[in-house]
Amino acid sequence: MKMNYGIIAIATALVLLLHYLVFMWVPTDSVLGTSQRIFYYHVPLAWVGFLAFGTVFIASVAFLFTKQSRWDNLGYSAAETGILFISAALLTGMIWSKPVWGVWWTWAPQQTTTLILWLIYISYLMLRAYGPPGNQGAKYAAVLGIIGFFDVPIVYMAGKWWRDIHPQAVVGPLAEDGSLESSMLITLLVGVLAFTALFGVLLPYRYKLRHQQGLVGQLRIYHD
Amino acid sequence: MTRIKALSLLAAISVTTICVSFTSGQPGTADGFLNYLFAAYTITWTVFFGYLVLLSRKQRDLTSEIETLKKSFAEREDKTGKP
Repeated sequence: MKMNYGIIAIATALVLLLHYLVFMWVPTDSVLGTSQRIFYYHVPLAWVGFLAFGTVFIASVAFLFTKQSRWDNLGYSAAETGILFISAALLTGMIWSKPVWGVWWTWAPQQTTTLILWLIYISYLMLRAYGPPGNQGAKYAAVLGIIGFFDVPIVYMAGKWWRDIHPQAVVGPLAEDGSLESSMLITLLVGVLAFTALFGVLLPYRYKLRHQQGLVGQLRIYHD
Repeated sequence: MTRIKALSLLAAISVTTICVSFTSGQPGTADGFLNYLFAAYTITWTVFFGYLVLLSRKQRDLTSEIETLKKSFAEREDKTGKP
């Protein structure tokens, strides 16, 4: 299977740059200390997870309208990759919680809604694995992929709607001006670009593999 | 079997890293916080490498299945004389 070496090179360069910035350049947070550097992984991982579920949403809508299997393959691949990123975001969040708040899990609204998001897309993959085969299963999954995406804005808004100990948004429309020092913001943005590039490597690879699995499945039926 | 071995190795590395991180250094000190940082970064890359191992394993299985199907189709063609 052909790989896009251009995007792999970009992702590698960005990941290396991110590590240089995190360990050599950005200053240590005066309140949270060294553990705050987890933030440069945690936030970009969550952002890419949302991007992946956004891709599932678009692919699911396109599949319901066109019934073309390529959209279904894209939705499935994006859901699987998205779960990977959200799992890493949840784990890094838990590791950050422990030194800062003294517990692994706080049931803070943003943590809880992210866990719900993770469970929704785990259900999506389970539906594909154990649900009806063929187009019917794909249709059910597409509906779940569309409904599930509505949890993404809830996760983002949770910090504003139910204020708690989880830090408020530092990027995007809800961020306050000057909520992040410029060098921290640059490092965070490089993190977002690095993990988005990594998503750009993983998604096409998984999509091609899924497409080939489908073709081999059809050949097997023809053979039998 | 290779997949299980690779995943076991990854899991062992992760668990060891986490144990070392949380047992060395006192939480609350800069050193303790550095261990949490190390654990978070290690776990993230373990998740990604684990996924890549799974994908490469799937790809290998697929390639082998394509080869089997090719052989089987060729044998059938030889017997029947029809493509």
